[in-house]
Amino acid sequence: MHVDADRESVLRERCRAASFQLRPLSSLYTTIRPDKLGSYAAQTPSAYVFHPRCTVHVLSLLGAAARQTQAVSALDSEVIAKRTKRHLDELERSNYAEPSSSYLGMEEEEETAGKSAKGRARQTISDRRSLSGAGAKRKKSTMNIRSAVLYKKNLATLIDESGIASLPSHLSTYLTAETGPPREPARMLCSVCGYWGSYRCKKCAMPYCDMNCQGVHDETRCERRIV
Amino acid sequence: MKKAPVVVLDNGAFTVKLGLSNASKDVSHCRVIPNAIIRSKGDKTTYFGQDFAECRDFSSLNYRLPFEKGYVVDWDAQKAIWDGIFTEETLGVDTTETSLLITEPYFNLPNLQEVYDQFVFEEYEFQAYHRATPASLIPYGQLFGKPSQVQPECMIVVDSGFSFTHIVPIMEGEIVWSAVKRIDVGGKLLTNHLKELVSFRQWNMMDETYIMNSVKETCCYVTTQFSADLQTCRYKTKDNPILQEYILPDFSLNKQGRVMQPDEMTLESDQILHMGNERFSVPEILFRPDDIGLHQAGLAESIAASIALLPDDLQGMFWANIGLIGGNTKFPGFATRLLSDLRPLAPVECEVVVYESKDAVLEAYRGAVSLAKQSGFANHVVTREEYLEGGSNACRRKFKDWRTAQSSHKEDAARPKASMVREEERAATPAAKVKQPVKTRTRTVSAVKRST
Repeated sequence: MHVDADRESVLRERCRAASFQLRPLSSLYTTIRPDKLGSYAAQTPSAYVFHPRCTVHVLSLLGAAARQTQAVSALDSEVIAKRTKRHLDELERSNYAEPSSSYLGMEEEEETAGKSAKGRARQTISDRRSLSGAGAKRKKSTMNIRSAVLYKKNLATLIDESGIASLPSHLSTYLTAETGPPREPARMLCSVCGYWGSYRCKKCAMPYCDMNCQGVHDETRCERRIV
Repeated sequence: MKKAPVVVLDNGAFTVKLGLSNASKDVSHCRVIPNAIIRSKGDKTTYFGQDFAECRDFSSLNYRLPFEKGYVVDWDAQKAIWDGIFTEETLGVDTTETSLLITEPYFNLPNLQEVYDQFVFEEYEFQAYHRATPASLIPYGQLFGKPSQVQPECMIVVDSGFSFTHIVPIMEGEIVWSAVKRIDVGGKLLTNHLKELVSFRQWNMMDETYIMNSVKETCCYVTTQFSADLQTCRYKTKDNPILQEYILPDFSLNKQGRVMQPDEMTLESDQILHMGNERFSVPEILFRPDDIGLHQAGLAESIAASIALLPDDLQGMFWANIGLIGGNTKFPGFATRLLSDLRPLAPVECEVVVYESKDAVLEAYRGAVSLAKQSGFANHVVTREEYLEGGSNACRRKFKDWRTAQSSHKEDAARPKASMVREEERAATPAAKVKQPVKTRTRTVSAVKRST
């Protein structure tokens, strides 16, 4: 088992604060020697008996340290690409709290308007508008219009159904018109303050510029759950 | 009988631009209406499109937009907004007695185009209509000079809107679809990005799209010296000329947001938003999408890539006629930056000229109005009778969209050669005539660095 330097220092810190006691199974209590922590970890944790109150804590720390190490090595470009894509999708949102948007205007008026619609399966927002308006002359929409209004499809579905993917390759379409990749490599900008980010977080690979921003990053931004 | 006016509708993802072709000469009559259904928590009201003008409390607005990534997907919402627009009260005319000129996105999906047709003829029952992309209307406008002047035969229209940015080469009034490029950066993404930055660094603004959009519009600019400006903003010092203090609006007191003046005193109740490197790093994404991890070439590089796909002997003309439309191009410094980025990418002997519009948002609308005014407009439209007879097929045959244009180009592959020769002959004269850009023309031939 290997504990990387970073985790070890954390452990050491914790141990010092709690002044753990531990003893080999056979002997008396001994104090944990922070400088030997690596070697403790190298052995199976159960070889030591910790002070009862601390045992669970220390064991979990040692275990977490090991998992973290594996995670860092597993963190590759694929994970980062996934994270970037998620972020880009978020940037296309119309509202931060997205789920409620599809029910926009529905919540409060649902009860009153819904009942007056005489048990219609679904009420559309365009209907509601004309109902709340003068409503004097309302002509019936054609079948085409009604199905367009009632059955909302997202863009991916529409692209799928449009069949533009199967057009001959020499034709430009939405799918082929996207500009090419950039010629220059990406710049590293601090994910906290926006200045040049010269360093990358060991755990999540986000750039930051100095110790200050590293601190903020570790506390708030670092995606430890990237595991 | 007097010719009925044409209803002109530039149906953008953020705002629709609406008017009649017979209205006053300039475009000041144009109505700009949000293309959204907006719920205001404070007002406890839902506003449809034009009704939004009555909104007083702009905090935590909830948006429902008909568009997703530039294409109409929510027809329910779009109908609700159009229902308000296509009325006699709003337009002053009855839709059943007029024709319509409406814009559609580039590479609009065929199945969506059919829905456009259905709405125009079946729901609103226009007599005739024409559907076109915004860039294709630019040759009719004044972006490259007064209509009386000869319009350049080759031009690049950069349309940077709410959903995305397109680079559209136009040759003799027709879009060269094979060279159109798209960057997936638009105003929506920029506002959301700014929202994120501010929420992480200062105030939680994640629900304040409206406010952050106005902050973006007032504070953001495009820098020509990213590195230096970044350095200036490294520390929050008093002598930082870039740092602005934006006083956030207080809707309970009916106070709008604004930038604090240099010697202004703040009230204790004012909430201040510090705008440092956010001011230029947000629009910077248009030029470096990679900054947010979007693996696409920036604007200048994409323009160069687009021009490289055009006929060799005409490329110089395209470099010399680059026009900017769409809301994003209104960022101060946009044209200057684009030019300084483009110059090193262009061949040494080429002149690079960027044309800016006074009102970039209305530029496509302006072109649309002058097309609608032309006597030849009748040749462009599909009539209601034609639609009732042939359905959407009638429209597909008539409108020069990306599909028809590309398939017809393949048929007469011999034609381009002939027209190119003609082009060269003409190039000498009109180019000289056109040499009076409307708004901005900056030339930096000195900063030439030939790129491969």
